[in-house]
Amino acid sequence: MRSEVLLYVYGMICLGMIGFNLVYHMVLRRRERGAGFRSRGLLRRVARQAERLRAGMQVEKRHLRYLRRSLSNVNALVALDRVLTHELEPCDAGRYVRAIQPVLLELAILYRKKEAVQCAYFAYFAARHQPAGLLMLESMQEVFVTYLGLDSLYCHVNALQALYASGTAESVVRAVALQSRTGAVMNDKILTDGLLSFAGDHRRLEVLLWERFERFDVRTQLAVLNYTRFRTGEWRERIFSIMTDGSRDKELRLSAIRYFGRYVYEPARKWLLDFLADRDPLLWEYAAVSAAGLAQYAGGDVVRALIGALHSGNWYVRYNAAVSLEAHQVAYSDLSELLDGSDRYAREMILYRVESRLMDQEAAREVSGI
Amino acid sequence: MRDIFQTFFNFVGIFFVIYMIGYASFLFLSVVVGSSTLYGLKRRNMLKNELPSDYYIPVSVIVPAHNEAVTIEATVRSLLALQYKVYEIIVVDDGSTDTTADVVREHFHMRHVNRPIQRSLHCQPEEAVYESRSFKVPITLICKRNGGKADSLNMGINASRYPYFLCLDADSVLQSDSLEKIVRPVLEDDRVVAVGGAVRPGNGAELENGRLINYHMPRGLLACMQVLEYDRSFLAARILFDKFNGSIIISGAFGLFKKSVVVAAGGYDVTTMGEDMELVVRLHAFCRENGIPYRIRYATDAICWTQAPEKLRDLCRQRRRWHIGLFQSMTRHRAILANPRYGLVSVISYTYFLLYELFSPYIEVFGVLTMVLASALDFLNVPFMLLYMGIYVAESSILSLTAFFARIHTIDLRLTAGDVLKAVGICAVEVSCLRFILAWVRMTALIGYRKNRARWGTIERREIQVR
Repeated sequence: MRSEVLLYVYGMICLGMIGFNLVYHMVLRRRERGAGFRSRGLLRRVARQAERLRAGMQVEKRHLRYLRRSLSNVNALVALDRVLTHELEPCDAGRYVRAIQPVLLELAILYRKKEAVQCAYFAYFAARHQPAGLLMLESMQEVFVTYLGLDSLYCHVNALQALYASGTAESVVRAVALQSRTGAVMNDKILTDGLLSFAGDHRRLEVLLWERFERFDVRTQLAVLNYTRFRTGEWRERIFSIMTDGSRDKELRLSAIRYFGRYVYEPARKWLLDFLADRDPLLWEYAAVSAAGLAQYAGGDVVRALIGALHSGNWYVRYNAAVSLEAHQVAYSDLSELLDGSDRYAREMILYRVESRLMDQEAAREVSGI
Repeated sequence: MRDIFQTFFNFVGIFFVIYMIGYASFLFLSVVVGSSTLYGLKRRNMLKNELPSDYYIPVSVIVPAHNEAVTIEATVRSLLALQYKVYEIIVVDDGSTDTTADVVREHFHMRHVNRPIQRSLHCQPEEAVYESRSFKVPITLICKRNGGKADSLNMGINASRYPYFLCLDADSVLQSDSLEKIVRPVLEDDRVVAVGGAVRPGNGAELENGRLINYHMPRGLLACMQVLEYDRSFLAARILFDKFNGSIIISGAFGLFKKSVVVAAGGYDVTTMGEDMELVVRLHAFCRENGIPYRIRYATDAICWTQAPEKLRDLCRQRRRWHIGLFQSMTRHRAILANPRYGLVSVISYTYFLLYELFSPYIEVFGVLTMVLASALDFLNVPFMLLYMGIYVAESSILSLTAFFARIHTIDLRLTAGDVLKAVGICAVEVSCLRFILAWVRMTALIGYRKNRARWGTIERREIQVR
């Protein structure tokens, strides 16, 4: 009898689940319809205020009170985003957003205390309407910096987006430092690409980032180094010291080698050649990245080292050396020893590079329609 | 004598009540967690809690193929339609006896090259390598001596240029945003070493330029039942395992891996039939034993459409292969069982797969035989048995439908009333009939399995309709 009761209880729970799904589905449908109504209502109010702004008047206080009340609901914020993006002219939207900044500042503080998904949405909203002139207030930037202390990747990413769009280097660097301290596990690529999208003075941003460089965790350091590599060759000395420092993280040193593959720096030549000549199998990554980097360094010593690297036991080293030799436009007569020699691996790699180049040329001709 | 039987049946009864409560609880928990996660994901996307779409990690897409002349062109074309920017396609033809290699060569303007391939992982030697640079991403075709699917994947890894690789079955197609979605967990968390995508039966799905434009329940009953089964058993359970880093299966049809970790762990095991599961279990063991912080994730929104077998014979073959693979993975890594070093992977994932996947067919068939014996000896309480069966079928059906509708609603698919009725009508048949047929297939799977190791499964292919 007891087991029957147990089975009945399970049956009831299952029925409850299907009921929950049906109700939830209906709630979602209602919400979708509600969002439509909300957008229309909001549009009427916003359009009236936009008209006032066009006429040189200010936004009504009553409207600001309404916004304070309603935008604390994230669905209303979604509706406002829809209205600003799809219903208003960009110049009207910009004027309107600037006019309601005090309300948005209050909301930034309010949303910080809400659940992480809502907080991340507010940051997204701010980043999205940044071009319309939202983040002029320094206090607003301060609030977004504090978003980086929250335990949500999307809060971090969206708040950083808002700060990049603000164009204020100091705020961005404070935020980067804060996320470095929290030990977030965000991929360094996100940080690098984000920094590259910064809307302000990059020179100022670089200076501030490098001032604080040693205080960042390795992942952030790597992101800053990669960002610098894509931006400018003006940090050669600083990055040279990283490349030559054996106590540094491997990825950091490899990134530094890549930097000197992009920006030629004569003092780095010897180091790159040494890395390439090192046959320690555990250090093959240094040799492979150096082989690629040496494509930019002219000279017989480099060509000789690259030809020597074609005999490496590591596939990547051989491949990168072959590509770099191609960049040096080495004549086949110089490689005859290799092509006729007994090292099959070196010979195959050279032949493959020749075939690859032919295929690339053919593909380019196809694209250009020749 | 009668007392002995009575005691025996009492024990069996208690065992089954406990076993079924355990299973029902797991199923219940996984469907609740799975459906609420799907709804949560939908809300998260609505509130833009997602990474901007312009971050790319270079990925090598490896397509192992053996006698796939019918589907391979559509598969490669679907890969060329991906929105992703930085990737390469590597087709590994594992000694096909049909025209697989010819189809790829002709349709994608491939040219023979003398490409040296590194040997990070052991595999059968290549016989010829072809490349094409005429498309948006480089395509490579490697024709090699037959060595099985795992061997082909190892060859693909050896030939890959990028730090992450994605394995994709040659009878599967990806949605245009699938690669972007499966890479997201890697961007979100540096520690991720593998990501499983959502594999769905594509019978009934219509894609145009990598976008799903029409979806309906498949015409064949068997495929319909598999649609429900995939949602209940695979989707929901994998979401639950993902919550505690406990996934021990990433479908071989669609999974992303960090190459350096897979190579360090030894690559795919060519001696097993379930190379996909074996690799994931080994990655757990490898990372834990070497103190590597790691995560194995499941991306519910990265979708791969695959062909579900439409003939019972093919389905039985497929499940037989899966069960042998499961057996090999579980026995090879038996050190995980009740081992505190493996945390929840041992306590929940391994135990669940052992009791409710590996042993379940034996237990189910044992249950049926006991019932027959009890009936013959007049011990069977028929009304209770019918009630028990009825509630089991009702509960499993409801859970199947919950998982199915949760998926349908959260990705904004629209079903016709006919499809809804079909799903409701078929779920009970799936639970009460197909399940027992497959239990029998799985129970007998291990008989003579050693003869068939490292063979490709042969399932009748249909041309994939990709516009």
